[in-house]
Amino acid sequence: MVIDVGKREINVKIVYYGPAVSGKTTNLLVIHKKLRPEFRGEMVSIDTKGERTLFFDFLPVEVKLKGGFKVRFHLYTVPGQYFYKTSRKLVLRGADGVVFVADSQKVRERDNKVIWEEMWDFLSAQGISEGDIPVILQYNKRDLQDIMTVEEMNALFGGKFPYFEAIAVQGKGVFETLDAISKLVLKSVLQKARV
Amino acid sequence: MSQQVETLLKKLIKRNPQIKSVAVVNYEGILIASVLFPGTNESSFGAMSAALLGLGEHALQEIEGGRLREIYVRGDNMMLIVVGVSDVGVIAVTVDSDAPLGVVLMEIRRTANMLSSLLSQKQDVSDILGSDLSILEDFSFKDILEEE
Repeated sequence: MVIDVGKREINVKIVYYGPAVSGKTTNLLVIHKKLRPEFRGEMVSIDTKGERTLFFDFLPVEVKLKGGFKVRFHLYTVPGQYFYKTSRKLVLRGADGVVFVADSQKVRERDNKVIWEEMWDFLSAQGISEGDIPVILQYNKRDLQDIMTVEEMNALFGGKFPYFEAIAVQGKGVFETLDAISKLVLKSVLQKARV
Repeated sequence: MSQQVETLLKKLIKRNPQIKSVAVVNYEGILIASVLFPGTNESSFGAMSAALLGLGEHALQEIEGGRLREIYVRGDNMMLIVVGVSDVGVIAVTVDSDAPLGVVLMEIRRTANMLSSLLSQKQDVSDILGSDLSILEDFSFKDILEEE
């Protein structure tokens, strides 16, 4: 988080975390495609030849709020494959908020759980506990067969966090998630600046 | 604060014509100030610089190499030099590939030292703290989507 009082600018970092192929990059692609160009920059992706995220995707989004404040959201995704654990840890550093994109399919239950626990381990290593930064869940791929119910997904993640159902590839739930995390993050950083 | 930082960066470029772009980025990848070559995307430049920093730190950790000091990325035409600025972040500089490295590095390190004390100064955020947080409630990304 960087607040520049002179420029009336607030910069915050939001990380989309989750297991491989859960829809993290798809979220950013949809945001990039659907937002008017004057409100976003170009998307930077460091990926493999097979278009799997290798290090991160990055998309800057800039909005002006009432009162003349400019807020720049730095949106990042992490690579989801197991062997990119170090990259995930690096990208998560300094996050002001996290969207955990979970794959709703029953066969991905274990992957969701492992990466969720890993995320909290990495946050804890930064001195961040539950409640310190906003975390939102996105239950993606709600259009597929053989998916967990919302109750099952909530039970998997502890049932304490706001969640949104999504079909990111169709754009559904993407902006609802972004609205929610951005508001929670702004509220959180401004409250912290008071301390 | 960013105005003061920008002034320092402009002075660095003025003293060293081989330096084409310079940016100060915090460890989270957020750009604090920059003077960039036309056509350089500042947000991307900031993200890449922080990524290099993170990778460099991790590599050094693996080999018990101590604190990260500098990273060099050399291309055919240009070089990117990333220098740590105490515990705030990095200064990332692009220079001509054939620039006299010793002189350039000395200047970058001097600027990094000046930045260190400047960036550790606290800002008065009372202007922002006075803001009515309800301004957030009226905002939605759905209001700024492209028309279908």
